[in-house]
Amino acid sequence: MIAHIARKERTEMWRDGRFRVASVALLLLLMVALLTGLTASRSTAQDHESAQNAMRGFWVNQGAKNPHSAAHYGLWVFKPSLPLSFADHGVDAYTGVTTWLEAHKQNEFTRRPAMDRPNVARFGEWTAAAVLQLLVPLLIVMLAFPAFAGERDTGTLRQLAAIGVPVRTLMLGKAAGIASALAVVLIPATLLGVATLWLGANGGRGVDDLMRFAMLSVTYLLYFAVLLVLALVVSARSRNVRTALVLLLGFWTLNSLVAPRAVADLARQVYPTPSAVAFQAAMQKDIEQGLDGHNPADARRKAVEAQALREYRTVSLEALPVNFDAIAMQASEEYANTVFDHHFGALYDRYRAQNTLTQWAGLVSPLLAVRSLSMGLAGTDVEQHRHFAVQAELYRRGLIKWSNDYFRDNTRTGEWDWKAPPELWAKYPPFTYEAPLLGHALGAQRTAMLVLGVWLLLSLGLLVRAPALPVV
Amino acid sequence: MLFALIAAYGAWNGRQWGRFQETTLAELAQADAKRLGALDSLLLRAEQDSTVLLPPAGALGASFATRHAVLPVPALAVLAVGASDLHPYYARVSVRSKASFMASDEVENPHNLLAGRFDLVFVVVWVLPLLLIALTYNTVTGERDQGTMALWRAQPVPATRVLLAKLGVRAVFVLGLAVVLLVLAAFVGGAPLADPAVALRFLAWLSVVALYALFWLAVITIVNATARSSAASAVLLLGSWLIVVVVVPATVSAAVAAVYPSPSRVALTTELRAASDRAAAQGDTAVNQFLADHPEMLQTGTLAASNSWGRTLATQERANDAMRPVYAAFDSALARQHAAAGLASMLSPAVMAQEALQDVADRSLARFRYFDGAVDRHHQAWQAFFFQRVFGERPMRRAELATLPAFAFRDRTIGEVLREQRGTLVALLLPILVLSWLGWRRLATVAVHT
Repeated sequence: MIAHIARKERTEMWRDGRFRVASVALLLLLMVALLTGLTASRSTAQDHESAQNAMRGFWVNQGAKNPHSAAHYGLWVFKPSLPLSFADHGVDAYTGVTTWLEAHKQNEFTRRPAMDRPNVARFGEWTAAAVLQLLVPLLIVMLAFPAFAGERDTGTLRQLAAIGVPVRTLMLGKAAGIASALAVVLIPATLLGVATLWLGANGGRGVDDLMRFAMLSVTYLLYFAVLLVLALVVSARSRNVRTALVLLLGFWTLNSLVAPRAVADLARQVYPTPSAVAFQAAMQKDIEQGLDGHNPADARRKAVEAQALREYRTVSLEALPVNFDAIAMQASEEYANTVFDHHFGALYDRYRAQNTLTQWAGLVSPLLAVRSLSMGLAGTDVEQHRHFAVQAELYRRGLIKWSNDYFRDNTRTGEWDWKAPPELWAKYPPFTYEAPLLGHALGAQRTAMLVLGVWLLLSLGLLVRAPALPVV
Repeated sequence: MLFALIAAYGAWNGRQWGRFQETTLAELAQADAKRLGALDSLLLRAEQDSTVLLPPAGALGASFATRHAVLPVPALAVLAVGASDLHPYYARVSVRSKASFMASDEVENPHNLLAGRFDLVFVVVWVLPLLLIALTYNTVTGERDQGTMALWRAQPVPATRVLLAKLGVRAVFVLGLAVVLLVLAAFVGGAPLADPAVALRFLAWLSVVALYALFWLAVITIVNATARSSAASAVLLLGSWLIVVVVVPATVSAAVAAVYPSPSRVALTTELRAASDRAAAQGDTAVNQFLADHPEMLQTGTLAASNSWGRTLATQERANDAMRPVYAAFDSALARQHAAAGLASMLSPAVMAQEALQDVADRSLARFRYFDGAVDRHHQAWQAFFFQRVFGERPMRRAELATLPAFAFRDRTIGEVLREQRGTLVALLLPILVLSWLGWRRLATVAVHT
């Protein structure tokens, strides 16, 4: 029975020229989006990789130099473009792509690509994710709104009820019919996505990427299933076609276009972030006066001095066999690092709180949860950015400590004019970035998954309760 | 009611952001005053006591004497956040190169930047057409569905007049409501409307709103006259909305990015480093070259070996001179892309309306470009002021504090803004005229039965 109903729906849709046009257009759009996404993410990857190599070259070839001057010279690191970013660019245009690693300071990321873009770019990008988040749901609405309401208008629903077709069967049949029509678009799109992934595989971790892609596909499929059931239920409960259509389109608009902005602003108000000025000033103050406000920098330096004298059993800094300036610098680096960890950690925790609130808002607008999951799985969300920022900072700390230690062991206090040999710089390993595995990405998406689960349960419940629907 | 809530939320967001920026700017002004106060008392002590050591002129120009160049929060901040969530609105200009002080961005969750702000411009550009559509999509088809059309079409009144009157009443209601809410929002949001210049600007802003609403009314008229049923009308109208607000802008972005790819700022970063390294490696050659290019800087003929700031700045400027063609190529590539995008965006009245609304409210990308230009000019004046002192080894006097180059930024008057936006306004007006004419003709022959 279900198969019969499904076949009838499918045939009807297929005969409708509008559906054919819409699905072909959608498929084309998805193809273009995937390919341009791939080109964009590849050229970004190359751009950043060659910049990274150039920076390494500058570092290695900086010549004979005092180690501390070298630490001040530092180097820039660039965020790589991850393999799945072709499907969803996420926040990539809105985070800085590079940061300067130098002595004494954890710098923020700069060069947000969005800042160079024209006005129109803020209206949105045609990524595969945008097509899946905006247009496929619209197609679902268009296919599903007349499912019951239309048959009610024409009176055929009454006939079906009269011959004893259970509502649940009818609903499952219609869902299966629409789903099989959607499959015409989605199956080739998924294959294309896999092909793109394979094309763009730039030495990534194949299995992890495939798992991410599989989860991405499942996320969207579940989302579409939820939308399909909701649309059918609305169609069944609406008095006529018009009401069903207006209700569904209203939901689509709020869900896809109004909610993301409304909730982003809400999140900013609930969990405000400091201004850049206040943020920098707070770090500066903590470095000067101590995190607790009672441990000023000069007192800390005195303690380091006393400890060094104890350790080397001498009475004066001049008598130390090592360079005390380097010891003191490393000590102040380490203190500053705790301050940076405290402030940057708090800031990124704020971002996480804002983003978790956005995921919770998915209870009202399910797209918010799906968007978040999509970015997380594609490796283009804020958490991924944080992961890179932390790795870059750890590299900076290692580099600075290495240069201070070298300075300490090879000179005596006050030898600022001493220069390390030019071949030294190549001895510190280059920065390599290992993107986190799927588990890390999912850690930040627990709320989104929970919310999607709630919607799934809700739609299952609606299917089970389908017989209670006022069909006729 | 819902629309009132939405508008209030948009106004609140605009106001909060304006306040946030005002607080930040006040903090900056306070820090600047403190820094200059300290410098002033140091210079005073140095005048009274010749043993007091002064920082070298280079250090003064790099930090001790610096003040922030500030883009003021506009009077109509309540109306728009616009491009101001993404672009820096202050810069601590110094004798260093621009790259060193323009790097600081406001702290913001990238996820929120991606979503964009829920400001009144968003409410007008995205939500207002939906409200119009919801209240008018069945003006004609509804008559037909109920069968009342056949009744009055038998009367000797032209169909166009009746239908336009019906549409007009609803449109006036929506627009009236929108205007009342927007005026209310501006009042409550603290816009100083008593100032005639601000009031005029707000009036211009409301006119753009009305123009954009007119565009949608023209679309609604045509669709109403064409659609066979109310459902078809709703689908067609929402489809147009989707095309104007989502499909065309996203396609324009993609097409422009494909034809005019963005120049790489990342490559710029590496090239600047390469140029700086080259200049540093040349050592004295670079310094002497710079001095040979700028003989007016030196009064004694040679740079003293002890003048380390002079060497640093000369080397820096050599690198900048080498970078100049690279920056110029980058800027012109970007300008070409933006010009193409601006032209192609004319296909979407939504983009045009957004641009005009942001610009009239002084929250547009264009205003940030002006600010950037003003910062450039100020930077040059600042460098010239301090370079003379650094290379001429002339210590700064206390009396000279008053002659420090001041940052001057003048916002465009509403007349200037409108003149700049005339292309945008024409692009908005043209489809209105064409669509209204088509709609007018269609209405006259609207079918009684389908």
